[in-house]
Amino acid sequence: MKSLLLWRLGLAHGVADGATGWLMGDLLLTQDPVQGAIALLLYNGIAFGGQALTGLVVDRTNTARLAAWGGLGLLALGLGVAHGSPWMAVLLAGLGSAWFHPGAGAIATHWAKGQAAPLGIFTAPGVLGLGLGLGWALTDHGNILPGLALGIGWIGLGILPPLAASLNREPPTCAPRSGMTVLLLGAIFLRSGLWLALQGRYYPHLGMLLALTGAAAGGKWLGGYLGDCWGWRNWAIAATLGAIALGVSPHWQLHILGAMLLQSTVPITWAAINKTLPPDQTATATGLALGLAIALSGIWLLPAINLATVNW
Amino acid sequence: MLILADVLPGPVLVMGATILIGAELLVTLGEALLLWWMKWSSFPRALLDSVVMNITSGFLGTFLGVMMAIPLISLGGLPEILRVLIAFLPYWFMTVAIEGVVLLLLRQKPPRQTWITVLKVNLISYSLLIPSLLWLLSQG
Repeated sequence: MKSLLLWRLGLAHGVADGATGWLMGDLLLTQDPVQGAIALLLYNGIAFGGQALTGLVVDRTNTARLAAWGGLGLLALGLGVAHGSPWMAVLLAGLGSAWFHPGAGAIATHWAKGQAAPLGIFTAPGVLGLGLGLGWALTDHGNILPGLALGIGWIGLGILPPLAASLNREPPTCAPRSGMTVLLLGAIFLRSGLWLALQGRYYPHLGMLLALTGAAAGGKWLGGYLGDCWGWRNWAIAATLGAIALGVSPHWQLHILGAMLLQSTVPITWAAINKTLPPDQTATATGLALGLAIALSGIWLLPAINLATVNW
Repeated sequence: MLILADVLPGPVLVMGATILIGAELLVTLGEALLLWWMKWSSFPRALLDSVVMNITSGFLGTFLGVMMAIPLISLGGLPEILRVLIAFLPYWFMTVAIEGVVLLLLRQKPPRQTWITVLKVNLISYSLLIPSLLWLLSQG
């Protein structure tokens, strides 16, 4: 039952990130390169950089479900105004993502019961949706299908069974360890940098980017199970070393396998951050693991944008 | 125009990503030391607080700060240094506001103590950053 609910939550994650992927692809197609780059910068700044703050608010107000549902609603609005008002679309999508991820992530954490595998089920569809949405836009398709998918996801989230009055009733598994949280955030930052470098190597080869996102989704899904089976630390170290070794090889097939291994550590680092923070900060933990640390590494993606050429 | 490291993506446009990330990490570490020195918490917890508040204010502060600073950047008839310092005020304001809210939610200490701590930390860190900015400007 919980597994089915997690898949539904993961599906909502997939359509949320799919809508974002479509919007970003559409902006890259319809705006000039500088405007498109600035739009990406703004989206990433709000959507990823804002997740720790929205996560804190969600935890303090115990509004995970509302945040997830409202976040999808904001994304749908962003999709709707994409052609009329692209900057408003970026703002709405950024805010939607910033609310959706901590909210839905807190629900997933609640159902995960301290395991990494359920978190993999939640995270895997996100990257797949992002790739498919981007591909859908870059092959010149409209927003009807992403909009319909988002609508289905929105309804699906709305009819989730009632959650406990508080998502955070479980006793802490260990004392909060802030130093370990910082180390894990550093590891996520470095992993995200490697992932971006791998993607950058094949940009703008759409087929290869889709293959990489598919591999990443598979890795996230499998990584949680493998981590739970073989030990989080063992799997994270083995997968990271394997990913680096495969990443420096000259063969693209091995790069795909490397991407899979690299991303297989995502549910493990998220589950580990959950354990280093107090049990009433599950949305914050999600915001840190899936947002803030990734935002920082995204800085490297920014080209030298000339602000003077931006039509504010 | 130069923007200080507390507001993250802005300087990337001028300084490049690696330098900026290095500057951001220095500011984060510096503010963690200040929090610890002011007996806010143990050092590991101060470091986590500093990471969360500085990266959040870095991203959101840039977005809001740019919106507020654009009219100020175009002020005519003033020396460049003065224009930069005036345009810089919204960034400082946004930094304090966002970092204060983050710390309030993260640690739930008394609001008065939290706001005073954030103000002190940012006054000290910015009073070190502003001379650096002026020096960079003087180097052309």
